[in-house]
Amino acid sequence: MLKKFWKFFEAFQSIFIGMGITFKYLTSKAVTFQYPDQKRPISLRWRGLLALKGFMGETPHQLLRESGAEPQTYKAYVHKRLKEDTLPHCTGACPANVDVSGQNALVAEGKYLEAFEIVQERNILPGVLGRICHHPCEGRCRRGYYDEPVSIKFLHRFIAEEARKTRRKNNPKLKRELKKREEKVAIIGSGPSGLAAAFDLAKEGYQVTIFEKQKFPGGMLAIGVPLYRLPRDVLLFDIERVKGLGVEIRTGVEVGKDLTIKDLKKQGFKAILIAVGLQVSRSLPIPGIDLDGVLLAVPFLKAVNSGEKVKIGKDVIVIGGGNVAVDVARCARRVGAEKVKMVCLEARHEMPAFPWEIEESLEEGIEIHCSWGPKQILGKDGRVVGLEVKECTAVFDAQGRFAPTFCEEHTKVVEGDTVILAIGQASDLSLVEGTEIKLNERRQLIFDKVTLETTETGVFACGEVTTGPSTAIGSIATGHEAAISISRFLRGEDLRKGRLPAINLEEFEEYPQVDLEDIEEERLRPRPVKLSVEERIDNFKEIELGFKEKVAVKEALRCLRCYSEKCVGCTFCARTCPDFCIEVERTRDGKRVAKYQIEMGKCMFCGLCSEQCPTRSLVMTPQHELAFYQKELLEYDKEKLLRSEKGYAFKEKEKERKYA
Amino acid sequence: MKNPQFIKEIKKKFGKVILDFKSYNDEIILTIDKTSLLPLAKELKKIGFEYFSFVTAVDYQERIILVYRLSSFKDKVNLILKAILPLSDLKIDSVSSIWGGANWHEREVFDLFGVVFDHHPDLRRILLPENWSGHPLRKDYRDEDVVKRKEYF
Amino acid sequence: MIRTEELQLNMGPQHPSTHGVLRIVLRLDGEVIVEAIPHIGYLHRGIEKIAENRTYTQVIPLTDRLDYVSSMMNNFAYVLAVEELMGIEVPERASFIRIIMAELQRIASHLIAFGTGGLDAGAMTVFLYCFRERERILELFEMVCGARLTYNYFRFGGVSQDFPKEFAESARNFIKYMRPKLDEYEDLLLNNYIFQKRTKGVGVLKKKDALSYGASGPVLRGSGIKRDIRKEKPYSLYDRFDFEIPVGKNGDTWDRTWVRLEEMRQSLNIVEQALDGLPSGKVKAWGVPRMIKPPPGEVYRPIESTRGELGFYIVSDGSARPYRMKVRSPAFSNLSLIPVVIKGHQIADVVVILGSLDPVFGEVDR
Ligand SMILES: Cc1cc2nc3c(=O)[nH]c(=O)nc-3n(C[C@H](O)[C@H](O)[C@H](O)COP(=O)(O)OP(=O)(O)OC[C@H]3O[C@@H](n4cnc5c(N)ncnc54)[C@H](O)[C@@H]3O)c2cc1C
Ligand code: SF4
Repeated sequence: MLKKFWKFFEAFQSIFIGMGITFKYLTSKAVTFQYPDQKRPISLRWRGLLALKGFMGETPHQLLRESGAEPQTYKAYVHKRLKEDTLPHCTGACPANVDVSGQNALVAEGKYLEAFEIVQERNILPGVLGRICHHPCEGRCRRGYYDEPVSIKFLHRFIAEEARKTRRKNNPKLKRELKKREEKVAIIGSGPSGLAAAFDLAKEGYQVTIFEKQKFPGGMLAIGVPLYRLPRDVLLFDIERVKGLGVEIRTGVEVGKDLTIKDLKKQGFKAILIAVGLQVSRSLPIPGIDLDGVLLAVPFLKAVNSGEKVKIGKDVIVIGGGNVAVDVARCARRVGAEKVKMVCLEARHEMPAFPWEIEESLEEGIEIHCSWGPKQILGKDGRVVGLEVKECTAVFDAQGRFAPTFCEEHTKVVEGDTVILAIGQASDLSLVEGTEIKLNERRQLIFDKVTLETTETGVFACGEVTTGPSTAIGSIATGHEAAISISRFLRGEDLRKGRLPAINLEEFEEYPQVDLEDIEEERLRPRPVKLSVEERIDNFKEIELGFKEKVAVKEALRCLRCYSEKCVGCTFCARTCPDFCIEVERTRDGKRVAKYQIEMGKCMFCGLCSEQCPTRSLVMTPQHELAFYQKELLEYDKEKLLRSEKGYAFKEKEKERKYA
Repeated sequence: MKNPQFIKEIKKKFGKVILDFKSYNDEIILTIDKTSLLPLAKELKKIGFEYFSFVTAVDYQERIILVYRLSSFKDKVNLILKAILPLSDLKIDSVSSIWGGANWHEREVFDLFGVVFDHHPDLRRILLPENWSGHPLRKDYRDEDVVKRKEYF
Repeated sequence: MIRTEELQLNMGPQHPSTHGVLRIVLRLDGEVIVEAIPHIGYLHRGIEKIAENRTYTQVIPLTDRLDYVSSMMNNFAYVLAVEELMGIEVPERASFIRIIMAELQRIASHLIAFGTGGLDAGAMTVFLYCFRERERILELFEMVCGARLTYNYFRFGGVSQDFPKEFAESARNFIKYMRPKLDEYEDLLLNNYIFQKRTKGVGVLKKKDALSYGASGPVLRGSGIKRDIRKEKPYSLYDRFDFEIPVGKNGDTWDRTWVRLEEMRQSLNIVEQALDGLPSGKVKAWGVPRMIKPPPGEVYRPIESTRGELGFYIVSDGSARPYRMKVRSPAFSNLSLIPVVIKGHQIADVVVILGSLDPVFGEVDR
């Protein structure tokens, strides 16, 4: 019986197994039984039809105007844009967040004075910075991704030159709007940071007085920066404009000696700003430092810059590898030294001086001895005859801190009759004696990193005293910050509320150099005219010459006006499109877009073009319907591409069209 | 190089015909004389290069270089074998009798480059139509229908 | 005695079961196949030639059109090869994103192979289910890069854009949803008696043939050879992930289908691990120039794509356009096995075997 059943079972084995499985699923809860009952929304990143948001016009977007042109709101606005990822990189990279694309757009339109005003709003010395700025902005200029960055620095210089021609000492509009306030503010030091703070405070109507130790204003820009890089009339003109707002500059008054901070308070200054910079050149504890013929950088530069006669030999050794050392070396070359040698700890690529400065000094025949540290200054009869140096094996330790290590055995002698030390500066803070302002054990100022307030209420600090060795534009940025603190302090507001940190340079990509070989001539940036070595070596004439008007306008038109959402006709979409669907042309003068045509029939929706668009005006829309329309609509030109508030321009006629 | 053993072996046996020899971590690049391809291929298969990845060609205008890629799973070594063919004599032995996969790949090279593989069982065009004229991947290939692209950078 | 005559049968190029445009000329003896001669090239677009006239960046959308059911993989292989030529370092986050996308793509593509493999044997249900699941992956892709099939998502030094905020959650939901589904499919198809009868012992691919024909991917592993480039020579950051390589025993159609299912499970694991360990940071390397001009040289960098060893052999002459770009497509080699595996089988088995080789003709014909 069993056998019979088994046979029967075998014959229908598969059916039984099938029934088994069916049973299993009948009893268990079905998993694959949900169907989507809703139409899902389309992704925001959908790569559909191309559309443009607009074309460049006369009034471009301007960060400054949009933010209300107040230092406090501007910072917040810049941060907001950064968060949205729509902050032009040049503005973000500039320590003072100058509205560069606004400047470029105005220059392109021929409105040089307006451009000057919006630059001055953040960078109070456009003429000066147009010459000596180290322009971190240009390395991050998006144009540098396509070919070469826009010459932002030279455009600063150009508009400052244009403004100087008009000889308008101040901005009449600004002056009219000034509302007077009674509170008096004292600023110690007339360097860039002090001037920046004075500018902002004076605009708000405060009575600002600057006290300056030297006979002339300008700080290190007047004392240190050599004449061949910055003619002094430029500096004075820029300072005049600050003065034009009602700022009083008292030169020849050294706070701490002629006056004390207590006196200032007694005189009714409600707030005091210390912007004394770094004035004292550091010395070295090596044998022979007190020999005749050993000089320090700052006094040397000051003497050279004020036209005094300096006594140096024919064979000068400069110790140091920074920008100051380069300036010293080049100045020494100009005041009569026949041979100038620089000795620095760092290897060539580590030198803190800017590469273009090193380049120029090499052109002028300055020798650079890299990776050597001074051991002793050799003397004979009390006069310098040379410098003994030892090899420096490493400048930084594993954590990247400055901690040089030397190989004492490996030495050599550099001959020379003068040694100038340019190994850094320190601040002279003797003025704080007798006040509540505290210094730390390294005799540096103790201050609040956010509000820049010192340990005494009502006393603030800015500039290089707070940041350490920095740059002019970096100091100006802290000046703006200090001005915000002071005005809040005087109005009795919370100093800290909503304060934002400076934007980190790391946020932005520095573009690598583009291979310029295949690139058309008109896409390149103009090269400034430079004096040749013979022309410049024995005088203090300015080396680089500025742009002519035509060149400047052309250069400003190279600006891509990043994130303006208005097409500038840069043609990079057309260049990137693998299928050549896009044709773009500018008008002859380059100021407007003349033609923009997309052949959607060829488009394969790869999205490379909109990824390239620097303005973010070319977008792929989540619409696909157009593909169903008649074929001639697939080719649309400039007018049809524009998007109106409601939708696309072509949408309005939708009713008349039938599906093909 | 993980396995210097058989490199030595190959070098000993075929030292004369190897024109160039490079090796990275686990990649060997061998350039050989085209006449000795077949015996070398047999030997290679024997020492473990059983896996045939592809063969292709690169047109360097005056000569065409055939590139064979073989792998040995046993020793975890990959090999690129290069044979140089002058344009005047685009003929080489077929290896499809050793690695079956070479059959289609060689047909492809014949189709697109015009390299003739001797003793190939079925040397026909594979991707292009039978009646196509010319070999499109050659640098000297011209076609009137091809649209010229703009040079844009 | 009855005199029989051989019959020539033309299958394709337009045939629902050829998974594309493939024509096979079958010589039949009754129902038994004596010889099969495949004809390919119906989808040949000359991509290798076109690439020679495009800049390196413009080739990326072109690679999408090779294996159109796993475009991410093509992007991946191409971008890796050029990065190796250029010496570009990819940020960690970008590598993780790439791996997540690649593994999701593997699942999506295997779902098609698995589903249509069932369809070829007459199992309609799994096919429909698989497409429904694939739709969810495509939605994830659409969320990330805005396209559903031709993604053009990878860039040199990273990917074109970061994940949207809601991606991680959706992906996790998908994994949670997908795991039980795979068990269900195993029951529905692999354990199905009819399917087993149709596939076990059918289309056996011997190890020797698999090797010498350059088979790769599930086809190779189905034949019992444990080779996966992700393990053998880890590219990107695959060496940080923990997963197994499923290997078949007999090399028949069933084994290949099983390997695909098992790989989907492993891919889910990888995606989950990557989502857990997703670091923050940039998704594109800094300082990658717009106009890629690799130094003269050549590179071949294979990856384990859905179908096997996919590699781009690129020769650069230092200009902005590749001098020569060869696509080593796994499906081409796998398909060349057709005459070997089909021989001696019945005509009804042709579609089943072909389905288990999973060719995609965009890749075969290029
Ligand atoms: C040689 C040299 C070259 C440079 N080149 C460049 C360059 O090319 N590009 C660039 O961006 N930056 C350059 N810098 C740096 C730049 O000059 C400084 O970063 C900037 O000037 C610092 O500004 P500050 O306002 O903080 O201080 P300072 O400019 O140093 O101004 C401080 C002022 O306070 C005055 N003062 C000090 N003590 C008292 C006191 N007790 N009472 C009254 N007044 C006092 C000083 O006389 C001085 O005028 C250079 C610096 C030097 C030294
Ligand atoms: S001030 Fe200097 S850093 Fe700022 S935008 Fe002008 S040139 Fe650039």
